[in-house]
Amino acid sequence: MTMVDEDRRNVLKIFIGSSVALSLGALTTPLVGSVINAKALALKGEYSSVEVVLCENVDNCPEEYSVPISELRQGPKFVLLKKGNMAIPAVFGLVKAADGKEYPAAYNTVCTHFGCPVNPTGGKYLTGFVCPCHGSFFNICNNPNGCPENPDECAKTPDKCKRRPFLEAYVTGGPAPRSLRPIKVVVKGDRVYAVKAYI
Amino acid sequence: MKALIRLWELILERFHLKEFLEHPVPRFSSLNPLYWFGDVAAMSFFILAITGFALALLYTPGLSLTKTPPDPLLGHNAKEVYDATESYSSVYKITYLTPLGFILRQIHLWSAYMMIFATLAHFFAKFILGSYKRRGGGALWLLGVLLGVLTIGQAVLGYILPLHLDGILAIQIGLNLFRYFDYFGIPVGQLVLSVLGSLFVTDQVIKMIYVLHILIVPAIILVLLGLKINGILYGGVAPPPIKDEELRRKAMEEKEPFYPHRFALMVGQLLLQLSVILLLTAMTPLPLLEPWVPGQEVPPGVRPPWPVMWYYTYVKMIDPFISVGLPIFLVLFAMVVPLLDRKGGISIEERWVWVIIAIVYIAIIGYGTVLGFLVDIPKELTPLTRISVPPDYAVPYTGTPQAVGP
Repeated sequence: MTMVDEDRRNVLKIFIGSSVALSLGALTTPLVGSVINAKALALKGEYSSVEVVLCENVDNCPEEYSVPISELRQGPKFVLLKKGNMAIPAVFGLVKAADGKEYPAAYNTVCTHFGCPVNPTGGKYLTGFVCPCHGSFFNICNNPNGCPENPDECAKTPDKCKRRPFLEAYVTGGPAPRSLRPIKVVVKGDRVYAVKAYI
Repeated sequence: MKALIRLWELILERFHLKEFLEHPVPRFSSLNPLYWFGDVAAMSFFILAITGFALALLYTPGLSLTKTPPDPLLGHNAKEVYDATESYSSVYKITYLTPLGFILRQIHLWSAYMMIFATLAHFFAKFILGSYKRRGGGALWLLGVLLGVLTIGQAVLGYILPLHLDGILAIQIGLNLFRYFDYFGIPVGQLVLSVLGSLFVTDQVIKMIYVLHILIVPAIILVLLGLKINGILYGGVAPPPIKDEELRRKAMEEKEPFYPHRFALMVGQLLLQLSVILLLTAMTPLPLLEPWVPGQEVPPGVRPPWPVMWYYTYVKMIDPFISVGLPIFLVLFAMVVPLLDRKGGISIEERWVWVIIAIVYIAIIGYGTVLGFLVDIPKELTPLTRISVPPDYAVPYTGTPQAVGP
């Protein structure tokens, strides 16, 4: 008699337990699924940064992603690039290259160290960025042939020299571990358009 | 009058409140200050809940730009008007343009600081007492560590909400801090992006932080706090850390009812706490910090508030690959302390290794906090060598540079 009761109790326990588990699963799966956007998770760009395409083509790129070149001649300009729910803080500027030409460039101003908004340096031309929080310095390479990362070492051993590509905002001081994330710009007419950003 | 007394007795009886009010409490624990900090933290939580309710009614989350009148306490020209976010404007209204709003916000801020201070003091007191060694103490210790993490989390979330300059920096750091895991192949950046939709502060992000701060985290804290109070109610308090077993047993057996002995002490403690908060409000009012809108230049030398100052000091001093994980390491190690410290007695002379570890915890947090306030940490002060990043983790400048103009 007691045996039967025990069995019945166990069966009931299994029923109740499994139905609770199933209903919890049924409730949470769509909830978690709706919160986590699987597409964005799959959107794994190169270099552990996420690639965000702002415009497929410059010809139909909205004006809000652009800055007139005449305005850039006054100094670097901040634009909050908005795409859907996403906001990307960008600084556009003209870089005076070693060859004497002016190159428009844009950077994501989130510091690669801890994410503080970085301040542009240089007056009329963009020369680099400095982070107000933990003091990282970023220097924009203005040599079209690339910039030596460590000039003293490069003078001694030129063949082992590590060079930074043109227009990269590489770290010259402070705790930041890597270069500032770039924004690809294209010149169309008298405006500079941001077409692709890394965040 | 007689009817009222009868009603009160009926309430006590029918709701089984007599058992609660008269549950025996060891006398020594009422008199030892090391047993008070938990009460202070819990009381602060309820003060925060009450003031927070009023603040939540008056606050509007949002990033859209509005005009804010100048801060009269700082003596600005009354004609000056700042650009500020909607969040900042609403906190400005609460602070300076709502009757009693200033004092309401001050009580909220100072109670928050008091809760953090009491939480840390409680943690160190229980670490030194070895209270996790009693039966059921390990579970209470685990709940306590979780509550501590949630408390600091709540403070950071609340600090972000006004969206003043420091708040924006806090949210930016919060969104990007754990992206250090990206370097090890764990896509934290993508996870944050897929949940919040952005890695830079937006309306969505601020709404999420608002809901977390006023609803989700307090609810979790309330549940864990309930479990903890229940555990102490039925499991008893930690025995005193003395070697003599006879003395210890005697101390645990000398009991008094919770009401009125301990209850009176708790009421006194709450009144003292409230007066300290009001005194701090009167002596050192915390002004609303300056506004900031995206694109504005951030002035150098911005520092975090004291609860996270020690972390700021270490991430600025030490290579981020090592220092970013420091709080995670401290919390994880604190969680497993009851599993490691199993053998031996509970007295301080038998547990001297663990007392030293507790002092190391205090030293790490205390040293970092003091250093953060005293010196401007130079970037050369890096005692540990920089770990170089794999080259392909740096995004090279993309696209073909196009020259413009002459």
